[in-house]
Amino acid sequence: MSTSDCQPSDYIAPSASEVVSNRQIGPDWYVLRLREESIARRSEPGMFVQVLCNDGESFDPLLRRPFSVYCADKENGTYDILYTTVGRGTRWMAALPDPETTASGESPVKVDVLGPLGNTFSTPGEDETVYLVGGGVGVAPLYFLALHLLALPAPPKIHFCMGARTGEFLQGIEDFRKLPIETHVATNDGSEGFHGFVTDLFVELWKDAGSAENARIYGCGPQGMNESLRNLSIENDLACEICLESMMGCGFGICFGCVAPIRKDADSDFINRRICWEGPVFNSTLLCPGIEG
Amino acid sequence: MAETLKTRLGSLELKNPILSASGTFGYGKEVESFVDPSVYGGIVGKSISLEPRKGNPLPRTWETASGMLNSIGLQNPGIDAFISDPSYLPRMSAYDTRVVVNLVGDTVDEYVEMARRLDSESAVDALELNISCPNCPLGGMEFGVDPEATRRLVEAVRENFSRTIIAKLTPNVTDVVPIARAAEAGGADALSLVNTYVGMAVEWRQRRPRLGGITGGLSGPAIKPLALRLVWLAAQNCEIPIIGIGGIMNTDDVLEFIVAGASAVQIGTVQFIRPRIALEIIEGLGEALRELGAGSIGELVGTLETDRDAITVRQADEDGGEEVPVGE
Ligand SMILES: Cc1cc2nc3c(=O)[nH]c(=O)nc-3n(C[C@H](O)[C@H](O)[C@H](O)COP(=O)(O)OP(=O)(O)OC[C@H]3O[C@@H](n4cnc5c(N)ncnc54)[C@H](O)[C@@H]3O)c2cc1C
Ligand SMILES: Cc1cc2nc3c(=O)[nH]c(=O)nc-3n(C[C@H](O)[C@H](O)[C@H](O)COP(=O)(O)O)c2cc1C
Ligand code: FES
Repeated sequence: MSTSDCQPSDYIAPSASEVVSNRQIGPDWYVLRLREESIARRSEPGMFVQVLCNDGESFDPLLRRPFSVYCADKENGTYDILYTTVGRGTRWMAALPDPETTASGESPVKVDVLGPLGNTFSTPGEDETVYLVGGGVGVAPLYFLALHLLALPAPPKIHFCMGARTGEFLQGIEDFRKLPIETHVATNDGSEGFHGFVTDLFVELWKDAGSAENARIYGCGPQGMNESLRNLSIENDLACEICLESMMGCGFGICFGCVAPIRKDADSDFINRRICWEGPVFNSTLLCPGIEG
Repeated sequence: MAETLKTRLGSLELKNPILSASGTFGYGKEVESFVDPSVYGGIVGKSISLEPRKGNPLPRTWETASGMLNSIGLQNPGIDAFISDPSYLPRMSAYDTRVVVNLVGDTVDEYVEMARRLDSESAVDALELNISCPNCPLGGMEFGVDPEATRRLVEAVRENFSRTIIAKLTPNVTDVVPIARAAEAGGADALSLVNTYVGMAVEWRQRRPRLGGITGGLSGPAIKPLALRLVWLAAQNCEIPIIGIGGIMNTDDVLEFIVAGASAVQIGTVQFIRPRIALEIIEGLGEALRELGAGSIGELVGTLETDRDAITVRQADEDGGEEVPVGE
């Protein structure tokens, strides 16, 4: 193994992704469309990319920022990122020009992106009803998953449940509403949809459906939401996969910065595993109560 | 004559002067989909301890201005799994590069026990003794801040390991020179410096530290000037080869360390951002040798020209950086 298992052409190299569009879809929410054939081709739902949020001439901000792939168009070689502006890196992204609205003729803007990284969700059984449960910007990987499931030869029935603090934070919802799936919303203050947590909304829907055992949950959201999803899936013996987030130094397993107590299988102990390297998607039965331990 | 990137750490020859730094490369397997580990002159795995360690609470990393703090806390599988599990040493030994095992212990006996076991593993080309981790109360740091303890530790490992021994020094000391000399006196074949600078970040609204471990080690370009100074001082004061570490981002940075006195370098944090950077640097070094008309890396090592010697400068630094007239 003097050269390792993969052939050079398969190496994942940081690559220049061309900005196709950079649309604001609501206060602080944006969709960035990038063109880079190999990233688009390899991306699967749940995977993420690491974006260098500077022009490459500077070391500040130093670390790349991780973002789930929101969707990928393999034919046209483009992929999208749904992001909210929370700090320097995401504000830098928001300031990238939107070539769709700026004058043509300017040279294309490129962003240095590494990826795709991480694993993907498993495919549901044919008779399973799928519940996608997302909080905030955690809906990003669920959108890609919904597209993927709808493209299956026999697409399952899909419910999408989105939670937000208030109605104002439901911006990502429009793209879901255009899909042939059932879309439901929950807000903590009741300003729109179900009044309460999105996990309680899920329980209502599931009970309305006769507490069917063939429900399969895919979740991604803030820590508290992920935690209640984990707990209720275990209490009710429901198949459930959760896409986790963590502060990331590298995004591909070399820094040990992104761990959580996760077991290898139902019989083994919880040990600190790397979310970026063994995840970010995990079966809920492998996660520790409290998730971060 | 064609230029050569070969360099030496005592009796150990490296095909090029670029090594991966401990804790920033996994154990090689993780980077395989990004770069062939065999391109490196040597690879250093994350610190290994006698027993497995689960590491520190989250968060474990925090970005700072042109740098990052980490408090990973030496999470590792322990020496038994490291030697026998196919994802660790057996896999590292299959790469066409030098394999350096970085060790951390709480006592001299722990280092000795691990060194003895690795002495019979022919895949291990060198040991790097981490006597400098800022992230654990017993992370080897108390060895690295005391010259006498450093000497005794290196001596004890020397008696139990027949190949190359590298002592990795902490920058978190008032004066690195006595520690460097002590490691040399104890029988180290080379010194590597620096490990991370201990630091801290605070969230004032919550009144909480940013890191689960409260304090952490600073790495990245922010520390390069600090590291360069220590590498230069160590090189001026020791006979054994120096491995320069700290904030290296590109070929220019590598050459700065080499000119300041390093015979090889380790690249750390940069690999998080540019996993294929070793390839770029190796290519860049070849070009730099041609530009300078130099036949080998060795011709450049320690060629920094200064108007004052290191002893005078070190004294002036200690006196608060008082200006010493040039030529004095
Ligand atoms: C696997 C994964 C997928 C993600 N997907 C998305 C997505 O689809 N859309 C989206 O808007 N956000 C997503 N995030 C969160 C996103 O990475 C952070 O919001 C972003 O890094 C913040 O960067 P900043 O420079 O704007 O903020 P700053 O606060 O300036 O960042 C400072 C540091 O903290 C890190 N950081 C801050 N918040 C987070 C966080 N929540 N997770 C990881 N690192 C963080 C940054 O990387 C940086 O090192 C994802 C995170 C992970 C781990
Ligand atoms: C996330 C992280 C983990 C590290 N873990 C170790 C370790 O286990 N053992 C060790 O000797 N050094 C460790 N280091 C220190 C590096 O090997 C290196 O000395 C330091 O990062 C400075 O180099 P850099 O600025 O190029 O990163 C670690 C550094 C980082 C950033
Ligand atoms: S982010 Fe570095 S190991 Fe996961």
